[in-house]
Amino acid sequence: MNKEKKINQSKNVTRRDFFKIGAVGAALGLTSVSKATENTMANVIDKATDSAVFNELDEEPFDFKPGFEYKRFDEINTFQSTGPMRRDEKVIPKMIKFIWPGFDNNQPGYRQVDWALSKAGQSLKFKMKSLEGKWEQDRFDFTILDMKPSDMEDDSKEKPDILKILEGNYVYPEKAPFQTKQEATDAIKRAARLYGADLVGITRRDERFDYKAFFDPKNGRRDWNDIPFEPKTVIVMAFEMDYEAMTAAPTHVADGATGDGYSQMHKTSYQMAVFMKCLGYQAIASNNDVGLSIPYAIKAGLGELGRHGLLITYQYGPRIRLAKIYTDFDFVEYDKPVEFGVQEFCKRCMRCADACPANAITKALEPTYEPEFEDEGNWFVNPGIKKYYNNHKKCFDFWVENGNGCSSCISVCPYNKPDFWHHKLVDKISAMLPGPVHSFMREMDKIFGYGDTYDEKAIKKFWSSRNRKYLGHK
Amino acid sequence: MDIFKGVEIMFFWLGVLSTLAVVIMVHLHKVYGLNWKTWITSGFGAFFFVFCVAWSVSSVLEGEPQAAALGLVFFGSPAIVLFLITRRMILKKSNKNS
Repeated sequence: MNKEKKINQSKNVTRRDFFKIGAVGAALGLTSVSKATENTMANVIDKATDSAVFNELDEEPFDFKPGFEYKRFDEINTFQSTGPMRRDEKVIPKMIKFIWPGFDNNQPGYRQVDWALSKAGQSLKFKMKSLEGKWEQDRFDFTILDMKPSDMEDDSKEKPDILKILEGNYVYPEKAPFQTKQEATDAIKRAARLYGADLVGITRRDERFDYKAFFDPKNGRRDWNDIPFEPKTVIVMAFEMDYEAMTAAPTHVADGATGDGYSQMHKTSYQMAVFMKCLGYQAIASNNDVGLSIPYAIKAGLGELGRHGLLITYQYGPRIRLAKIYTDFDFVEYDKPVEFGVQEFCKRCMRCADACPANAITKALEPTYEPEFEDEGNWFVNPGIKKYYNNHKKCFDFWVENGNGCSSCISVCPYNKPDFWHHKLVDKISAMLPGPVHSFMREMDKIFGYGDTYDEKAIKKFWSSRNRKYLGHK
Repeated sequence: MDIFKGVEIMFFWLGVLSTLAVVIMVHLHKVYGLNWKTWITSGFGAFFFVFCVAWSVSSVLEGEPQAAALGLVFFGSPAIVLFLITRRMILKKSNKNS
């Protein structure tokens, strides 16, 4: 009887039941596998070390001098505005030399091919330069959107919205229906990543870090009244510059990476401004104009300020360029500033200060509220905030002599490393250990051969076809 | 993407090396009966050896040959020293037993 029952039971397992059991089994298997990968020892260690290394700050990370009236910076004092140069006639002939430095085919890193790499890298920046100043976005490419309404079949048709957006300050009249702030934040960050940003943070607009007034040689002086809306939010984006090219600093090859970073900034910030306008919000693309990029990047949680005055990110170190979008959209999750031990490390490292060919980077142990040197003619130094003050006039003089933007301080910085696991391990260990270890880490970084400048091998390596498969298969 | 080189394949081989190290240590324990000191020296030796391989291969992959060479010196030499100490301890014990 029992035997019969068993046979009947086995007969009752149909093909459909078999598939059902299979599907349940597969689902269980997948769940357990995904759970297992989440709980791997590596993930557990990563999470534990992240919480020990990264410190998200609720308060602002800036230390303003007590009793000192911090003044907003004027764009005319930036390098791009050539303000300091205009005040010093001796600089103008130098500036011309800098713009058209030429080349020397007998000097590696300064040959015509190196010079071409540098200038072509920046070319998109020059092409889109007008976007920085005009607040309205010129088209720089010509597409079907260049058709005038009269070209269309129906003359009575209004201009398409996208054409109006591309032409000026028009914003799409319908606002995008985001349900949550997180959804909006995710959309903005994903779009920025698609258009080429490597890091994206979002912060509130902070007037202290906006330029007091604007200036560019093409459009002259303007102020905030010329901006057609009140920005509430700043989206800050960082763009990685090529590691291999940067190891060739301070030659034209490294400048090629810098120039390409500038072009990338202009391209992506323009696309993001159009993206925000298509979402129904006002936006302006900002690169080095409108406001100070580094304080905004710090506020947006992209990194910390280094001794060399550059932003140091966890992912790429100082090997990045920054761009911003000012918008009136504020239905977003704002990012918090973060600390991961950079300022402590910079106190003892000083590799940038040692390597600077112009001796422009301070070797002061502690940051100060104002420069320790006499600032001739207000060369983009804004006192009242605690940091390392560097002599930008000396820096610029070397740029002129060298014929490009140098970048030695970026190249030698121990945080400037390719994206490999062992560098992240060293960074984390270094962040968790006290000061004297940082001096040891700095020496080890040198001994291990990182951060050489004027390195002819780096130039040869950059141009070499070894290990590069330009056709994909060879 | 290449199939037989790159950091993913390196981690695969590191897994193989680690497994081999454990198998060898268990084998040595079965044959010679390792005490806790020998377990520690051989364990740390294996760790340094695997780390040395990981560091040096990664440095080659990122195009920094000097870092690879220095990795061999800094992490490989402690591994060799620890393996030699382990060997000596095992030999000492086996001599005593015989």
